[in-house]
Amino acid sequence: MAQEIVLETRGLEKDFGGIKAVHQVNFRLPKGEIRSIIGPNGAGKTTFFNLLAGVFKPTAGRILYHGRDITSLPQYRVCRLGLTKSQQITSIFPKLSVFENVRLAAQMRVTRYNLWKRYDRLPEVNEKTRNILDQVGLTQKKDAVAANLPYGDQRYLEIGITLATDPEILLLDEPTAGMTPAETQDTVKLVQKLAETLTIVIVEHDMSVVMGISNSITVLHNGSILAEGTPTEIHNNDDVQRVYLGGH
Amino acid sequence: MLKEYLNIVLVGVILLTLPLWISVSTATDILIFGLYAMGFNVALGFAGVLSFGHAAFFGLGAYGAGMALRYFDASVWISLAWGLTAASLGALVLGAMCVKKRGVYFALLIAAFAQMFYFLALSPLKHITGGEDGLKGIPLLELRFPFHLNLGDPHNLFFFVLFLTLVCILIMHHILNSPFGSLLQGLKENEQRLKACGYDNVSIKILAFTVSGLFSGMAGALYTVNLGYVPLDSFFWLNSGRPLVMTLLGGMHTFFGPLLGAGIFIFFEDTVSVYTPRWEVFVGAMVVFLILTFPEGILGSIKERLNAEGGRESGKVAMWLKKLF
Repeated sequence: MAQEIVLETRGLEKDFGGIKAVHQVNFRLPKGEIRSIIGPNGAGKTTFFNLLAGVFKPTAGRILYHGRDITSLPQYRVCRLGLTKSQQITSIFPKLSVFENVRLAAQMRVTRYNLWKRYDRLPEVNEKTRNILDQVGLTQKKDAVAANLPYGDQRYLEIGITLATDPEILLLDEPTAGMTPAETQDTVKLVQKLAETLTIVIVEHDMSVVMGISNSITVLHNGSILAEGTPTEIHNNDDVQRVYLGGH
Repeated sequence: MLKEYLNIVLVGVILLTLPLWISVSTATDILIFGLYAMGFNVALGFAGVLSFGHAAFFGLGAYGAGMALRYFDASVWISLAWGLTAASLGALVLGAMCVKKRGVYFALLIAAFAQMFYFLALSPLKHITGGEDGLKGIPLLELRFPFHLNLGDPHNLFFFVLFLTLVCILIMHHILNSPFGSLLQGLKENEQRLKACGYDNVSIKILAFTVSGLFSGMAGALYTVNLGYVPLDSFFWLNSGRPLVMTLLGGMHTFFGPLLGAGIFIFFEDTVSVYTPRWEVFVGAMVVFLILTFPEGILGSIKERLNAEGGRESGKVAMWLKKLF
């Protein structure tokens, strides 16, 4: 039985002043999968991510989410549909508390333009925030100012903010970048746990992480898909060996 | 419940005693410009949007109320409502038109629009705005509802303005602590992230700017009620600068800072201008001195100090005081 495709791109293109950052990408993502996107630097991974999340508009091609065309939707609408990206460069609300960082995002599904209630008296939002802080292991530090967190915790906070928007598909751009080996291990566990309920697309450089957690891998090279398959297939693929894995 | 509003009650009591130690007309001016600056700071301090053109909304409020009084013989309440409506509509439209520009470009665009209002009122619309002379011929004001109050009496006028200012401050406080208000912090801190959380950052900014214009317009409408006529200067660009100076003086990262800034600025202005027509020199020097002494504004710097104290053993009082700002 064919699995439901939640996200699909058809002939996706992105030019930056004549340079094709993403070129004719046809990408299909089945529900519930952990998909890694790998490729050498400049292969177009981050651009591809930004196209999926609605940050950039493609030069040509279409993006379908559950079969619905979302190509021209602004980023906040894409997010409300359930497709959310966490940034490669940590992007949080630095002067707010950890709790407030997540609470702001959690509030999105409940109320946006309410001028009369008290922001800190929305029981379902507070409850959800506590659950997410628990999931990403920041409950102890909920009152800390976000900017004062150690780097690894800021990365978790970023994932927490992303989760608080109730995504169906989570796009993680290098979640383990700059983390210690121990933190990387925790992140892998977290991603695996999240994958029980979410579909996850992840851009990652750490090959042991990629090979360990992915159901399947898409290899980008010069903006196009070079190969796609299970971790084993990708590992044994000659083209991939040649352009990317090199001597490994 | 009451604890949340303790700060507003305290400020209300302090404002109530103003006529005991300064002249009642200065006190009324402080209330009006305090409200103006606080409204302005909803945009600057809370949403992170700098505007050099709030005189447009102050002026729309002033002329809106003034024209209702002059031409339609409206009651004080109705004319205040007219001023409010004109100012909020103005802020909504200008905000929506300019919001895609950022930082200083936004500030200057709004300033340009405010100057357009000024020149419209000066010449093309002279027959209804009174042009250079301002809008005169407003009948003597009195309150007919809920009880009779002669607003020609400076003390009555002061209490009337105080009542409305406090109501506005209460509403403003409420809005800033609403779910929408909490988004403004996010907007100021990291607009990109807010967008990535599924919020329409542009609409949020426009709404914040409208709220800011609404309170500035209320101040303008009260200005008309206070003076009994509308000076053309309400629209002038210098009047856009006033709330900015007051806000920086008091502290843009505090709720009551702009009110304190307005108090100091207007008190000095009124006091010094009695002795010399060159009062700007002295008030200017004082502003420079205060801003150099209190880089975060007076309340802002006190708050910072208390934050530092709060970490220490003796910090109990400091923590308590901090909650007041």
